Amino acid sequence: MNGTSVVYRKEIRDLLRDRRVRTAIFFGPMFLVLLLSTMFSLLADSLGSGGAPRKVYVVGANGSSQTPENDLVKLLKKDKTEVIPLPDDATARAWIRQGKVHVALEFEPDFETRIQANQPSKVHVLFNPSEPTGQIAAQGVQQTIESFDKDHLKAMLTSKNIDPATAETAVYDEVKVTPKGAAPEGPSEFMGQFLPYMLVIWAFYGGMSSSAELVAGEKEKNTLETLLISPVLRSQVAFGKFLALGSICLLSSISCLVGLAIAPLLPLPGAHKIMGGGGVSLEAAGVIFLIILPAAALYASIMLAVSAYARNTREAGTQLSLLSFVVLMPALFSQFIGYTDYANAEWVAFVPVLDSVNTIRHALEGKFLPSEIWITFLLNCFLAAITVWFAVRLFNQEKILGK
Amino acid sequence: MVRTENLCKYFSDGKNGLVRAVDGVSFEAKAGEIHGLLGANGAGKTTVLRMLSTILRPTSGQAFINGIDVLNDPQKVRASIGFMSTSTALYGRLKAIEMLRYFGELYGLRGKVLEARIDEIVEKLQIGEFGDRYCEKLSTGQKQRVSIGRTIIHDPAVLFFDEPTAGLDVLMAQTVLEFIEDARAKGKTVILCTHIMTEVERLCDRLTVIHEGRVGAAGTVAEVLTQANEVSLEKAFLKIVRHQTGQVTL
Repeated sequence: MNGTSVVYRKEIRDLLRDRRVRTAIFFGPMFLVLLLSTMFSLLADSLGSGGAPRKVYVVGANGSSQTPENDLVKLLKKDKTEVIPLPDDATARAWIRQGKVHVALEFEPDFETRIQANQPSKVHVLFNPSEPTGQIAAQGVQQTIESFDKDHLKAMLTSKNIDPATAETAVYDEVKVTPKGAAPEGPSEFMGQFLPYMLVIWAFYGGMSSSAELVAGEKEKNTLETLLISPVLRSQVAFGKFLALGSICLLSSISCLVGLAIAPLLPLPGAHKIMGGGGVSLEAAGVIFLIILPAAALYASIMLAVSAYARNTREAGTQLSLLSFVVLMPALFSQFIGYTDYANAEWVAFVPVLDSVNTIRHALEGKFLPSEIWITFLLNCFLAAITVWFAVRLFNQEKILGK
Repeated sequence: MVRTENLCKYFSDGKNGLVRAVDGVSFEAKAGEIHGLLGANGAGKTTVLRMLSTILRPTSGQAFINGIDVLNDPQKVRASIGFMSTSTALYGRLKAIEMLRYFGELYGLRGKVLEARIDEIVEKLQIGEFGDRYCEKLSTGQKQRVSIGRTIIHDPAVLFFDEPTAGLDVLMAQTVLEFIEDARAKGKTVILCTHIMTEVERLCDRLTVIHEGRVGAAGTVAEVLTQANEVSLEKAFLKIVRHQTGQVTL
């Protein structure tokens, strides 16, 4: 048992006895993951097939008589849409402006005549473009109108003894090609987007509450002096503290995974959708660990250096808050990178934080790119080693005791 | 034994340029002796102690602890010293016994040797009744006893005390002073930094008066009184300080 191990054991014991630290590393990440997964499950349930029917307000049709307008209304109703009649288009427009109605349909005056004459006939879809719910509702109606159009074309061709298939030139046929071993549906939005982000972010934020106390706090309380007067090498003191902080970072990241494991077991509507295609495979879990380990080491080393450099906990707190933005920005960017070609760009593996999030997301998608995994792992190890070296240098300077 | 030879420590300060915190301090303290470093606040006493405990590196000069050069073998020096000051806190979330064990381990004690030493200190300083309590819950007196225990856990040959009674009430201060006397009786070398004259008169076999980083007078209390041609240490101290600032001649 050398000095590093003695310092490590003391720091871990000391940190885990601190309620703030326990909250930050256990309760915080688990609670946040559960909260997010609850939100996601409710959203998934609302937007999915089992959700509440969407409401479409219609001017000039109620679905009772046999008219083309009412045929469309019937099709809407078949498509789990609640159709509500409106007296006139002025009311429809007024209600949309007031936000009472998301989408309303208004037929051309000679809609029926034009349809019967096989002429294009307009259905005006009224919605507020600045309202996302209006846009979504309009898209839903568009699909139904396209379906109505197709059905009408088929009926017309059939009445003229023409095979409706002749009107189809290109047929959309979806073939899902997923990486080997990956679930056919792929990871859910929550798993693919939020989980990598949460894992990486909490590796930082979990350690943040402890790091200011670790060195700057000791300076403030005058305990650092007695520690440095002991025969243990300063590098061993620094390593012991670094390992303790790294463990805290890792623990808080693991707490996210525990929260994720609990989430689908909760009696939430749509909770089964949180895990998506098939949860986390063993290989993906291995990659997550391989990526989170050096990321936690990197964050711990940076936070230790900041704490050693700061003269007191207040100064350390301010510097760490600023530093958190440096971590937060690439992590936030990672939320959108999946929608772009950047997700597969090689340079991403050389950007700290972003590389970790991206590699974890790829692993969850079933994409295991050895070069990406190893570059991310080695780069973070290298950066952590440099920062630990810098922290040790700070410990070896006289000004480490400066307050 | 502690010996310093022309010990200097200069700091560069942006506003004041080069600050001579300690400027050519030499003294020697033998085993079984309490050597006082007497000086006003900011005189350089703590800086001397910090150089002796290897926290600060001397700008020039030499210092030896039991013959070991503080510059050449700082780790060995640290293993043979104990440092205590009232400003030094304990780890609030460690229990009193854990605090002793932690420092014992830092000083290389292990297993039965460490446990025996802890038992010895717990008995001697009457820590047993609160040994299982967290340090943050202890009274000032109890904290002081744990602090003493932490200082002597490795049975160092040399003990440094920096203003050990500052902020303590009479009873607690008495306990600390008795402990220092006890250390001398056991043959330890004790360096006591203080600005309290009565403590110096009561405890110190020899003393070095420091002002603005320089030695103003040195010797036994009687010798210092003779040098200043005064009957009380307080008056002698003031005269020495004024002499150093050029206000009076000795």
